[in-house]
Amino acid sequence: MTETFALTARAMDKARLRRGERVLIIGDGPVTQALATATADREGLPSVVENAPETLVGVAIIFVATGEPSTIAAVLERAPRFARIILVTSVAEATTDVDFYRTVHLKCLELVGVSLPASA
Amino acid sequence: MEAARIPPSVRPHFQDRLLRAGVARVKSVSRGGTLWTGTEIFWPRAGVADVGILELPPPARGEVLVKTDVTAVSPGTERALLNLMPGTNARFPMRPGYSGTGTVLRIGSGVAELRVGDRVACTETLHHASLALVRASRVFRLPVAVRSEDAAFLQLIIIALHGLRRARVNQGDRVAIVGAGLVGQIVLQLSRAIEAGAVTMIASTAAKQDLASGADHFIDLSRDGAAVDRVNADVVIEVAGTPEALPVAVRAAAPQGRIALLGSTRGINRRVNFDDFLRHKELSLIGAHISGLEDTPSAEMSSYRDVATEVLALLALRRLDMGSLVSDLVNPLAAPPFYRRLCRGDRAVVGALFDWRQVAERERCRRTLAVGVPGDMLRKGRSYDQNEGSPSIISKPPTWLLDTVDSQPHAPGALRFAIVGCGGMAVRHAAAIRAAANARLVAAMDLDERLARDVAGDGFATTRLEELLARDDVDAVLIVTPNHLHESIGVQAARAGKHVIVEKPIAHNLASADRLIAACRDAGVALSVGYSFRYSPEIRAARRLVERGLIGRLLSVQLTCYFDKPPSYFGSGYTNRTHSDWRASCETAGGGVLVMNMSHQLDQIRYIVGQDLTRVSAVTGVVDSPQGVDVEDVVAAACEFEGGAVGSLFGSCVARGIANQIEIRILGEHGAIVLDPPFRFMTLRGVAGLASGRWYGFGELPKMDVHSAFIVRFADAVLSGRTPEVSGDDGRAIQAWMTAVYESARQGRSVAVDNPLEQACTQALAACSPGRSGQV
Repeated sequence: MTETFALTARAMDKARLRRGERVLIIGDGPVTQALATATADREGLPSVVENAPETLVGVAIIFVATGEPSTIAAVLERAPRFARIILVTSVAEATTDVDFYRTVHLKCLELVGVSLPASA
Repeated sequence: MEAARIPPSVRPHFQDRLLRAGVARVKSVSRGGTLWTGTEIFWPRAGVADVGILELPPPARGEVLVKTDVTAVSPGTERALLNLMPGTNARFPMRPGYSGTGTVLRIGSGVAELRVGDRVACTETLHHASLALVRASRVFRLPVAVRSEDAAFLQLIIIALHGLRRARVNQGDRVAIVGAGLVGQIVLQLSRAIEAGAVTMIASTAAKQDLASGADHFIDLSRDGAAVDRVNADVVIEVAGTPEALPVAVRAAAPQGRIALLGSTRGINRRVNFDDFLRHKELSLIGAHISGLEDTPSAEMSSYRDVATEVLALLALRRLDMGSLVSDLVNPLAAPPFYRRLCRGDRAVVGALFDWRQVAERERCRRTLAVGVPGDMLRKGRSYDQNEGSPSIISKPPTWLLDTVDSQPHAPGALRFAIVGCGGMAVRHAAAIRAAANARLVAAMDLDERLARDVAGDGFATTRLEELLARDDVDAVLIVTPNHLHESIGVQAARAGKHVIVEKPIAHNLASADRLIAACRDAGVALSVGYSFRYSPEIRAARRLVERGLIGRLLSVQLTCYFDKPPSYFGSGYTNRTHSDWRASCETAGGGVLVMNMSHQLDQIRYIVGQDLTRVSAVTGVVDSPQGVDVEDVVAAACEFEGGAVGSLFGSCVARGIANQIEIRILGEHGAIVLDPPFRFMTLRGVAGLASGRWYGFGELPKMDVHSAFIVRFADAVLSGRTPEVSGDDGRAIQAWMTAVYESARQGRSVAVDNPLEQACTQALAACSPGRSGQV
């Protein structure tokens, strides 16, 4: 559990959350729950936890807590402009093809990796 | 007279022009009825650039009409768009350009902050055109201290600064820049201006290292790719524009580092592992497309206008030096050959500007009435004269078409020449030097002392080359020896610090030419080749016609040369002044009629069309020359030009009864030029003073001493520190054409023409092919 909270803390730190920003958390593991709690804890900070959202419109921050890289690629495709996407959990050896130009560059996204020092 | 009509449906880009002309008129009527006419560059289809007429209505509310001075070319982006590279979504016909400077001509209502006559920089809808309608929010008044040429790059500098801001670069941060192109160089200068820490530039080759002198480190990936892992940058700015650049950026970043995606990577990164890519080092990948710079500032971001103002302040304070990044100042009318060069991947182009001040006022900015019909379009549809036999004589040719060579020297002083080799041609060159106002003949050398004395006149005559090269009063050496001696004498002259002119061809083979060019480059002396016939007025007029796009895209070129050499030619040349059989052997002459005679015409063609050959298929023969002659007396070659045009080259020096008859025909999409006397041409383009579709000639042209013009221009270039107009590289290019002809004839198949630029391009493409991307 220490690891989960440490990871959550780092992810929250990297996300630079601001009051009123819509948050989306993708995943179903312990980290997802911890993130949900962490974002909800903040006073006045509405949070959304959805696993299969129909639309990402208006979402400012997306925590991706799943080890499936194709989900990350799909999030990049659908994320609204200026969204910050925090990659929290490991994808291990899995790979995927990504068009960074059409997604990250054109939509001015920010894609942030988070890990614990031990795994670095 | 037979006549033909081009149906409107197949007339190139006719509908597009018609639509735009119509829209401009409708808008103009509601805004007072005037119409502004200028010149624009447009891309009718992928790979092709053209120059056309632009018509604009007066500015609407919130708009400004600007008369442009210079517009900036972004080589990487425009090359990608024009070549329709993967990931681009260019729609043709397209109007390129998005940044430039000029003067405010008219202001629409609701624009308070600008005055007519203001010097301004504009972005967005300022295309490569002499006039532009721009949103007032994208027009910025220039501070007095800012030069037009520097501010023309405003949009690119804004993009670069925006990238640094998105990456949250702080003072002292170590910065790495992946990509050494124009935007990369701007990012480098900006990093310095905002006092970032150590800056490392990472590029695929060392080609742009000189420009990046402001960087603390320069990494050439082709030599030392491993160095990337030691960079440890707090911030990496990606400006390379290829997917392969991203893994490099990741390796260059320190843990917790930030990577800004500023270049358009255009393509897919295959098999990305997000753990290795971002998570392990906890990196942030930040998209920095310029669309992210909003008009109204938000908490985290500044507005477009704020950044623009900041850039102009940096320019005014001379914290940025754009001048060092401008490799080409291009006359907009020469845009087609410029874009051809860019498309082929000429990496020498860093930053380029179209200079609209070079365009005649009438074509640059003119007020007309909206009720007028677009005359050029009507003319285009008219019938044209299919019989080129009887041209109308232009009594007063426009100056842009038939200017005399500028034979007046500009630089002060005179260049002191020595002639080496005193045969028949030396006598002509000596007379040319004596006729030139900025040249003196001070010495001559020949193994035959009598001949040396004869050419030297009052000057110094010798039989020993060392004696001549040791003289301080000799600035330049004109080498008029057998072809196989050009290299050895030229190299010695260069090492003695003398500028070098060799009689054509540059050498007797390509390897020899390369050694001579290298020696002159190493010694820092000028090298030129005696292709003086390009100075004849009709050749220059032909070049002007092509340059202005008046014959449109080049379709085909035909060269036919007839010479009738007497048998004595191979023992003593045309003049019988000296006796030597060097002209009879490939070892010494390098070839026959092609090298000895037609090379002049090859240079003329290359000079006129501005393109090199890419492939040649040829047959040569020794059909009627005296015993012992092993050089060809007849040659026929089919060839392909860079732009896809097809040509034929034929020459014979045993054409009994047809001595010295030369025909050059240059055929384009919209016109034709015939260069056998009398010179004549036809264009379907609308141009002041010429009727579309009619054949024109000049009648009797004034006689002109091309050899003397050549000497004057060479001396003027050397005295003012410029590269001679006929450069060593020009000489090499012709040698490469001829080498390909001989190789093709020898091998009995078509061969590619050796072209340094083509090679560089192939290498560059190979370097970024997916097969090798793993190393990058």
